[in-house]
Amino acid sequence: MTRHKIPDVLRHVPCLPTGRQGVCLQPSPPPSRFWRHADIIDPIAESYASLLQTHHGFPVQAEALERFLEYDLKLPYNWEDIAEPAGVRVLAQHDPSSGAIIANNSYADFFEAHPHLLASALSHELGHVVLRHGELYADADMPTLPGMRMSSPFLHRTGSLPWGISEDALKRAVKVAMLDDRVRAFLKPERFEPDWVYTQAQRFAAAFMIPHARLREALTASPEFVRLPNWPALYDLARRFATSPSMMRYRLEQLGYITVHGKQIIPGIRLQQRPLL
Amino acid sequence: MAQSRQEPEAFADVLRRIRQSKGLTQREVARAITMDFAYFSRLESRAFKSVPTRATIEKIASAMQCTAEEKAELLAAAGRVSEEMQRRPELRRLYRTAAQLSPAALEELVQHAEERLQQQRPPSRKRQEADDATQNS
Repeated sequence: MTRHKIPDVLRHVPCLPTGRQGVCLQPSPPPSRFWRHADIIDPIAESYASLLQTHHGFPVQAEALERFLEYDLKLPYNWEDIAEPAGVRVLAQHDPSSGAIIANNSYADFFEAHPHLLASALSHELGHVVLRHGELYADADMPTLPGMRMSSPFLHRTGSLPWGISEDALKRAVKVAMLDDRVRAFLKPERFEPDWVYTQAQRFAAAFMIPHARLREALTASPEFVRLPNWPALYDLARRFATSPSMMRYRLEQLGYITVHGKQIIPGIRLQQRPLL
Repeated sequence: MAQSRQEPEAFADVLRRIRQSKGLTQREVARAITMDFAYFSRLESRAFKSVPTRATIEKIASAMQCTAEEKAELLAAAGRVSEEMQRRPELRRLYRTAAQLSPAALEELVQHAEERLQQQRPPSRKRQEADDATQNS
C-alpha cells in the first residue's frame, strides 16, 4: 500500500521562526490510535496555540487563524464547494495528498455569521495536518462516495455534534449506526474516517483554542463557576475564548473540570480532588 | 534571451503572489467584492483553466489596492490585453517585460523604440495631417 508522503508543509514546522519568546513547535510522532490525549495531543496543540498567540494574539479569531495557516504555517488553504453525503455536515476538509485545508464554501454565509465556528473547523483540520493523519491513508483507489469527487476520506460522521449545529436526525442516525449492524452497513462507516482520528483532531482543536493554562486562569478568575458550574457562565467562558459553547463544554469535560448529566453540570473530578480555590 | 522564453507565470500564481504580498486572505478579497469564496479560490488554482474577465480583474485589483504595475501584471497574466496584443504574442511579451521595468528604464526603452520607429519609416499621413492642423491653428 502506498502511503501519503508527509506533506512538505509540515517539514519546516519544527524550525519555524518563533520570535523572541522562543516558542517551539512540537512535531507529532507518527499517528497512532493509542495515544493518551493529554500527554501527546495537548502539548502539541498548545505549542501551536502559543505560536499563534505570539503572532496574532489571543483568543483564536477566525481571521487570525486564516493568516496563521496561510502565512505562518504556509499551508495551502482554500474554499471549495464540498459535496456532502446525505445527513452529513462537512464544514471543512483536509486533503491529505496536498496537505491542503479546505473550507466548505456552501457554509460561507454561515461562517460569516459565526466566525468562531470557522475557527473551530479550521482548528480541527489543522489537527489532522499536524497529527499527520494523512499518512494513514493510501494514495489511490480510496473508497469514495458514489457520484462524488471525494479527494479526501476526512469526512466526519459525527462532524456536526461538536460545532453546536442542531442536527437531531443525524445524531440519532449516528447513535443507531453504532448499535445496529444493518444500519451501519447502510451508512457504510468505512467510507468515513475512524472515530479515533476524528477524536484526536477534535482534541487538538479544543486544546489549540482553549489552552489549559489560559483556561485555568479564566476559571480562577470566576470562582462562582468553579463552585457552581452553570450554562450561562460556560457560554460566557466560550465567548472569552472566541469558541463555541460545545467546544468549551468538551474541553472542560475532557480536563475533568465539569461533568454533565443531561442538562445539569456538576463540578468534575479534577475540581473535587484538587479544588482551584 | 533564454529567460524571456520561460513559460509565463500562470494567472493563478500571479494572483496568489500579489495577494500574499499584501498579507490578505482569500476570504477578505472575495468578501470585499462580494465574490463567491470558492470562485476566488479557484482563480488561484492552476488546475482551473479559465481566466476572469477584465472587469473582474479590475475589481480584484482595486480590492487588493494594487499598484498600476500589479494590475497590468494581472491583466497580462490573464491575457486580458488589447485585441492587437492578443493577435501578436511578441507584443504581450514586450508588455509583460516592460511592466516590470523601473519607470526610468521603461522611459529609456520607449525612447529607444520611438527612435527606431523614426528610422524605420517616414511619418505617417495621419501624423502629418495632425502636424498640419497644429501649424494652421
